[in-house]
Amino acid sequence: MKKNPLYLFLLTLLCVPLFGWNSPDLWQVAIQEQGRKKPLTTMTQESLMTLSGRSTFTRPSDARKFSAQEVILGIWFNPEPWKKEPLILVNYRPLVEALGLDQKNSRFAYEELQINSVYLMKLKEVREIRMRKSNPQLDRMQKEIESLSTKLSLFQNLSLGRTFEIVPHPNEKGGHWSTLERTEELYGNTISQKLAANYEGLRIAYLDNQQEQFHKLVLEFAQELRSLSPEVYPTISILEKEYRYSELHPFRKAWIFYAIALFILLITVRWQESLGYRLAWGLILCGFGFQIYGFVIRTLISGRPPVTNMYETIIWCAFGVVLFALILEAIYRKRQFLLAACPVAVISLILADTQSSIFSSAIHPLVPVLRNNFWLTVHVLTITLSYAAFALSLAISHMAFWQVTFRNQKSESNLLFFYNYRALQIGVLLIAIGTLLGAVWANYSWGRFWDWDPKETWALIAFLSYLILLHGKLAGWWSDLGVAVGSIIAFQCVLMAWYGVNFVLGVGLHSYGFGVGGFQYVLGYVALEIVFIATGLMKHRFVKSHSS
Amino acid sequence: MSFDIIQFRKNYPETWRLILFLGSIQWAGILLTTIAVACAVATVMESKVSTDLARRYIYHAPWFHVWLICLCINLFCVTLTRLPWKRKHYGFVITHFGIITLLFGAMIGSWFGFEAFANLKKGEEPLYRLTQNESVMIVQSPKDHFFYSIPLPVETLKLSEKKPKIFTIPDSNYYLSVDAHSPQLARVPELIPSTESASSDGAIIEFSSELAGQKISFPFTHATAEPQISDFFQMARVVWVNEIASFEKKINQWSETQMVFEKVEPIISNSSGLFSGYRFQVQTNDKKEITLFVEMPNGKKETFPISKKFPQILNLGSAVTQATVNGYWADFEMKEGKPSTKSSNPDNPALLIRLEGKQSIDPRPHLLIAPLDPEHLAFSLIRNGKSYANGKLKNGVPVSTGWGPWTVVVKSIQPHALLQYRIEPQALPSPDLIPGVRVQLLDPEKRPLSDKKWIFSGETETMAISSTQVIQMAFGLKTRPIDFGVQLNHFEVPRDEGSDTPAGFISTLWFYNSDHRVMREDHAEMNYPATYPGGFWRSVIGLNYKFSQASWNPENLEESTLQVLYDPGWPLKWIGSLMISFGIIIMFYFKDPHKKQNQETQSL
Repeated sequence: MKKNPLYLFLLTLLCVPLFGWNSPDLWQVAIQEQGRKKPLTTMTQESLMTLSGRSTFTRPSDARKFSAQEVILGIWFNPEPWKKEPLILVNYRPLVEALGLDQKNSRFAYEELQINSVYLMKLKEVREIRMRKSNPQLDRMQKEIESLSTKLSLFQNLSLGRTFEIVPHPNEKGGHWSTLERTEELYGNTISQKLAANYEGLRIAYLDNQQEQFHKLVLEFAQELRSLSPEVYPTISILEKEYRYSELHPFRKAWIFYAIALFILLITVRWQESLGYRLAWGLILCGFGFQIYGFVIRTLISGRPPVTNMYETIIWCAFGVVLFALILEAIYRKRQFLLAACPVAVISLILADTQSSIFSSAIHPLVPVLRNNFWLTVHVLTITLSYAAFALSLAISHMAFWQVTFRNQKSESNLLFFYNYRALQIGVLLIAIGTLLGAVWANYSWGRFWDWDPKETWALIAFLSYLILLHGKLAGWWSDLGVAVGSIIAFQCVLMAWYGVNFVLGVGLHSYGFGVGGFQYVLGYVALEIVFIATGLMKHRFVKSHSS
Repeated sequence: MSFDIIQFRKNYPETWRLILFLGSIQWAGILLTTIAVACAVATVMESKVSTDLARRYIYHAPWFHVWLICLCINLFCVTLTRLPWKRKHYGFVITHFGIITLLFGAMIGSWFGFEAFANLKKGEEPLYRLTQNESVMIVQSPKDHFFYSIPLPVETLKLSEKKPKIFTIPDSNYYLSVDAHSPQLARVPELIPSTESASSDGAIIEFSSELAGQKISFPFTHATAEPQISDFFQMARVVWVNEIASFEKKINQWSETQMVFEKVEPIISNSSGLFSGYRFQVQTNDKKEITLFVEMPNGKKETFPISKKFPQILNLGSAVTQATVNGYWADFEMKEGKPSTKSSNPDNPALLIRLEGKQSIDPRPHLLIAPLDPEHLAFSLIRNGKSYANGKLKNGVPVSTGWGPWTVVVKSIQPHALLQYRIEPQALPSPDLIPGVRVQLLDPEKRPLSDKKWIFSGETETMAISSTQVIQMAFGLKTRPIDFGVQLNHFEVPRDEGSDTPAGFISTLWFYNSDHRVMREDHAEMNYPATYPGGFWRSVIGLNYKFSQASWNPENLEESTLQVLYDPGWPLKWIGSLMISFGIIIMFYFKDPHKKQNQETQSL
């Protein structure tokens, strides 16, 4: 076991991203955007993700792939051709239809959207509504129109250079940075002209496709900007840390490891058990290591624990599932925990990686009410860890249910029922403590202990569900199999508390990270669960009645 | 004291059976399930309808509270059924008592404590009353003139003409009926014929914009012969004149007076309300001679020597028809409201300049209206001093103003007018509308004694209940007196770097005792409330008033709203929370250290 993880670790170091047209030093240019300073590379990735929902762009005419850097810098240096490329994502089908756009596509050009008369008319309607009421209730179409308007504004601001606030404030650490156009206000004519010349040089090199020259000029530009205000400019090490974090994609690497481990665990159930077990442990530890690394870096970059939006909670949940599985595995030495944890972790992390409209990986400053590291850490981490424990219980329950109903292996399932109970214990303890901590925090922050806010209420409902589940077993109302089924059903309450309150109900103080979409997938999942349980139970009944 | 449970069960078998029933797990299951389902339904209700409805029917409904009490009884009884308690029961008992303690704390909090808020503005007198989130009707008693507060929860009451809320006016046999509530009332002007001989023409015109969904009325009567100038969103002006042509000439004239100094900003007064663009500065040279430096709107700069013979004419170019220096004070000071000089030394020289011009510097459009005949007003629309539309405005026929989406229509013309205001609910919401209720006085037989009248929230209304007696009433939010005063001393909103988004809110509060002396200063920030009287142990026991930062007004940084909490049930809440947490830990992980490993797979 000691050899294998190291082997794999070395392997991962070779997965260094290749630099094509990407400037290797662009990260040294810092930009002040959305309330914090970050490397320009991060901004290009976040911008392309906002515009297009992807981290790269493939041009339809010649299938050439462009990186985020190339696209965003392209829009800055030479907007005209980019206005015609299908960059902007519109994935709400009814809106595509309403705008009279090609139904086969989901990405469209800035040019065609900008002048679309239906879009302009609908946007005007939404703006009128906003003018009349301070907190209007908008329907799905109206929210999508606003979202599209944000994307088009972003594109416009990029093309006009307005978003590129890369010139540091001369003396204030928290001062407002300026764009190249307004450098004169901060630094006077000479410097303004010098920077304009730098920019022109970069632009020409980019347009003439002179890669070497471009890379050289980028480095010079970065150094020039830094020299204007070295005290205010972020240090190279901070920028590099964020750059390495975004290039490494630690959470993506983590799920790849977990997926391989899962595969190995499955194929070595009967054959080469011991080797498979050790390999899987190693791989999982690798993935876990990447997750820890990702969290540490993310915390250092943002200055707070990574549990403030949907993306961060889901990756923390995946972490929690693996953590509990590892602990329980270490105690009981049976592969079931790892086998249960891996699919949950893999699915969560894949969702986090791909569903950028729900899970945004951008790092933003917190709303003021969340700016308290102690309470934030303690309350949110505890609650999310409880969700992780319940997710582990969900997975184990599935395995147990499968074994009893579809495979008819009673003996093995007893062990799984016990493991489920262990996972449930962790979950119930943590959700009780976490909910109470939330109430105590609210008492300080909002001046009231419990207000029946939907998020609070659903956490309570989830807690009550698991309590009913455990008490029912105590009372003999259902067997261990019943507890397994109950764990799956009760997890739906957790899902409601975690996702539903924000995205389905849309009310209450906890609506920080409100977004659109994804609802049909969640419904699909719930439907699948119902089908799974129903068929299993029917089969179980059938077998039982025929055996007696 | 040793309590023999076996003896108790023998002596009181009926009571024991009751305890077994009330503490049964079946009952617990029913209680937990119904609470969970009710809460789920309530959250959906909140999302689909409103928070108030969810609170009224579920969370704060009497049946829910009774149900929670039943839960407490169930929790208590089940602990009794396990007497005498053994080591393995400790976790279970602590958890259950913890829940009871927490719920008990909530009960104490709601009986003996309160939640309120305080909307504070910097510089105001300390507040000795807090506002609560319940609407009340305040009615004065005709006997002792005392004001009584009657709850009127308009958000949840469905007031209608058929089902009004009727309550007795204290110390009388008269009634007050409230039959409607509107969140958006406005004062709408109306003209009625006046019998006074001195009254003259009146008119009401209304601007409306489909885009903004707003209608704005401008009533005019002729109190004087002077034109009445009204501002329209600072982007245009409406002028009510006697005669259009003569005023059109005046539009293109402006006059400006400037008191200019050497070292400080000048004091400027312009007839059009705008600035001419001519910047002056008094300068002294080494010979102690006074000169006047001018920077003109076109960028040209010039310096004039001052002759001290007033009025001195200045040549500032053709844009200005007249420019004179009318006064000089060597060492300027204001004495008895008039400019004068302290000495003859030019220590603080000041010059009085007067400018006149014929080209309009007011780029804003003007609408001039004047009475014409019983069906029409004469109008002229002016931009940059030139009329771009004129003619007659017919009563009821809208005309486009050319000011974006705004159209104007004459609502009424009255040759001998008296202007009155009526309070009316408006169809479309708008930030400047105020909520209110419609009231009517009823006699002892509940027959109408007065007309139905809308009253604004926060305004006192006087009504006569008889020819000799009047009473006052008001509608608004309930207020609660406190024995100390709170004042906003300072409010700060630091922003995220490089943007306008708030990074936090800090309210500095001063607390006064009943003698109006400052007792304490504390800061209320997000997550760090201010407390009064303060002190760690008082907070622990729940005897501190907690002031948390609740909201702010982005347009007025001298205003801050704080949420106030007084919760004597707090100690029970946190003690209960600790008991629940530790109880669960003990139950799960420390039940019986003597149990062997392989026994763990058995039932709980």
